[in-house]
Amino acid sequence: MKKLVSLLLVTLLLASLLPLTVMAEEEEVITITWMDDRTGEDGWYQRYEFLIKPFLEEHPNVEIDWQPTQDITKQVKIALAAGTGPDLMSIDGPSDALELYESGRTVDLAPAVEKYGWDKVIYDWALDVTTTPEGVVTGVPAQYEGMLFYGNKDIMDQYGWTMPTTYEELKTLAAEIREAGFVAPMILGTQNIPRRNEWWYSTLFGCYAGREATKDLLEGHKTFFDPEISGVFTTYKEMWDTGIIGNQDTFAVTTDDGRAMYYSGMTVMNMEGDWFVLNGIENNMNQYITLPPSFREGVPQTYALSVGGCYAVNASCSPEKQELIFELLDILYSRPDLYAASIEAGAQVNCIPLDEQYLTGKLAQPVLDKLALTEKAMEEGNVGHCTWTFFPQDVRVYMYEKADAYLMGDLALEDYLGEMQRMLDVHLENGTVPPVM
Amino acid sequence: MQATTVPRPAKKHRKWLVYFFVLPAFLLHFIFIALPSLATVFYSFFDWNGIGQATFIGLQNYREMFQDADFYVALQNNLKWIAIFITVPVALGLLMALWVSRLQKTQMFFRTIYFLPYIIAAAMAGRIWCSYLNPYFGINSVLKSIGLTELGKTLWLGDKEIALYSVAFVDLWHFWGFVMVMFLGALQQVEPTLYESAKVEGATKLQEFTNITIPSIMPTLTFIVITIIMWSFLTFDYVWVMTGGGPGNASELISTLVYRNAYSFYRTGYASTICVVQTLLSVLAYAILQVVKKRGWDV
Repeated sequence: MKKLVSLLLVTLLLASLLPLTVMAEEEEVITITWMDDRTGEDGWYQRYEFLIKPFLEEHPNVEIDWQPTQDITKQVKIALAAGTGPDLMSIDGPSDALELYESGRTVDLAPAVEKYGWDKVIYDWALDVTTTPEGVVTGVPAQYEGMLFYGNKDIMDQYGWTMPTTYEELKTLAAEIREAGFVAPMILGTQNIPRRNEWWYSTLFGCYAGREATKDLLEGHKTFFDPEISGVFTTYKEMWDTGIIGNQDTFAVTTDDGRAMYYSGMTVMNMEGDWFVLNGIENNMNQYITLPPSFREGVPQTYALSVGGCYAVNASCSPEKQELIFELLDILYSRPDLYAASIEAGAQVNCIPLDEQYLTGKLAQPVLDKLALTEKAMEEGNVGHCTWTFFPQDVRVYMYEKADAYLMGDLALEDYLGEMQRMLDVHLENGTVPPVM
Repeated sequence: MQATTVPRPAKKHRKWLVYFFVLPAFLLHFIFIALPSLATVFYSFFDWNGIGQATFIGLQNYREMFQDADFYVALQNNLKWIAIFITVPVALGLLMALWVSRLQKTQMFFRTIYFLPYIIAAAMAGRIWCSYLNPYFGINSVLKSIGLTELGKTLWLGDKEIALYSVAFVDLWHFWGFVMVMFLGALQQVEPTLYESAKVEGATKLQEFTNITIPSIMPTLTFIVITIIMWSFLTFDYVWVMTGGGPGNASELISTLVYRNAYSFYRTGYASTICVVQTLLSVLAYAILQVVKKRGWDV
């Protein structure tokens, strides 16, 4: 009898717990992990206020585990190699997105692009570079960025200098700056980060080789040994040797030190991506912002353009979670009001048009000037190819990793170009060169 | 009162008990050390980018490594590094330990001061030293201000002839205090009566040092030398933080070459190959020192 009573009590207890279990299931929280390249308080504010918050309002049962990450691609690859990795990841660019997709780590985003109509909003050139010839979308383009020239307006006005529009003008200006006693016309700090050499190489592919020659190279119609291409490297070395960029000491200066020297008036110019407009505002710099000069006759001043980041989705995500991630990303492309507000809050421009009717007048003048400048270059077709978007991964890594050795004379130009050509030929043969615009 | 005796477990039982206690540590070691090490050896025979499909290529990575000029530069730099680190910090550490050991009230103060750099994170110290060695607002500006204009033009981290030594200097600044503390501990174990006897016999300070001090601290000295050689093969932090192996590959060490191949070029298979050879070099250095010890170098 006692056993029967005990059994009955246990059954009743379990039965009473059943509704609680159902309730728990109803309230089950889905967590989306997002490894993001935006960091710091500003990064969090831009992400949360204009993207995560509106998404969570629609999906109260979802949590976003936002993981700000420096050196994002490297960290993502390590996490994926370890068999984990985030559900959503911001990665550096299309060549990384292609590599992750080919390794089976990320999903094809073409169905999401079609379903949500992102292809109608995202610039064609940007979506093209993350789409394989087979139509697979390896990453959804995030922001775009390109290379620009900056000049300290106060100093330049004081000396009556103007921003150079040709290489000859740059050489003349550099000589005058040196005569005036400045440390150098400009400094590119590559100490510990050889990757910074890519900034100059991308600029020169646009303004020395030119858009068509670079395209020909990446499509296999030209080689690194063609003069339009090899000139990119010899011109860089010439600028380094003659002290237009630093005092043959770029390896001894960090990027931050180089910037600090520009801010403090030790140097007069700077060459960086358009992200530097915001750095200038933060440091109260009064500066000229122009396209880099033309380095070869017949090649216009060109805005070397890149997809500055992509969103990719982990292949191990459940279809349900993938759908939630797509809905999150859709806010980026379907809410022009939030997009404009995020730009006014200091976020970088996405690969979509900015609808000015949503701007409230908070945007700083240098940002507006930069937008006008880059949009004009895009309209006129004066856009080039940043190496980190359009070149195969190993070619670009070799290019910047060996730049020091080439500049110091430890690596012969023929060997340098030859190795890059060998790598490029493999990609051309395998069809793994990222699509060229 | 009669004492009660606890029956001792059988010898065979005790043996199994020992294994039982060793097992958790062994399992942890096997999972976190042995398995990854074996995986490294395994992947050294593959062409693998770290995330995709690995392709078996036999000994091709090894063949490539032995023809890779960068590997030989890194190896050469590692040997220079070892030569610096088995001489300078050992000599400096020993000398300072001898002086500090004679201090009474202030010994702890000096021990702490000299040991302090050792507990500063390499990433932080490396960045701070990068600022000091900056050609425009580091020590160069001080050198120029005191009239040493030519010396003030030195590119401490940007000149391929001296970048390795500049980083080694910073690592020495960080490391020598540790060696000093080790020697200080050894010196305190030396029997004072030996020195008293030597004094009675009329021995000079140099004779005391060579005939009493050195033989007495020889086990510590040997341990330090072996450890330095093995650590030198694995050195990574200061070089990576301060120069990234550059300029060019002027300060490249085997560890930075491994990292560069694994995480810049994404050639994890090839990086694994270099890792295997790096480990073998460390083991070889250790084995040579053991042979030397057995032949009478040790006391």
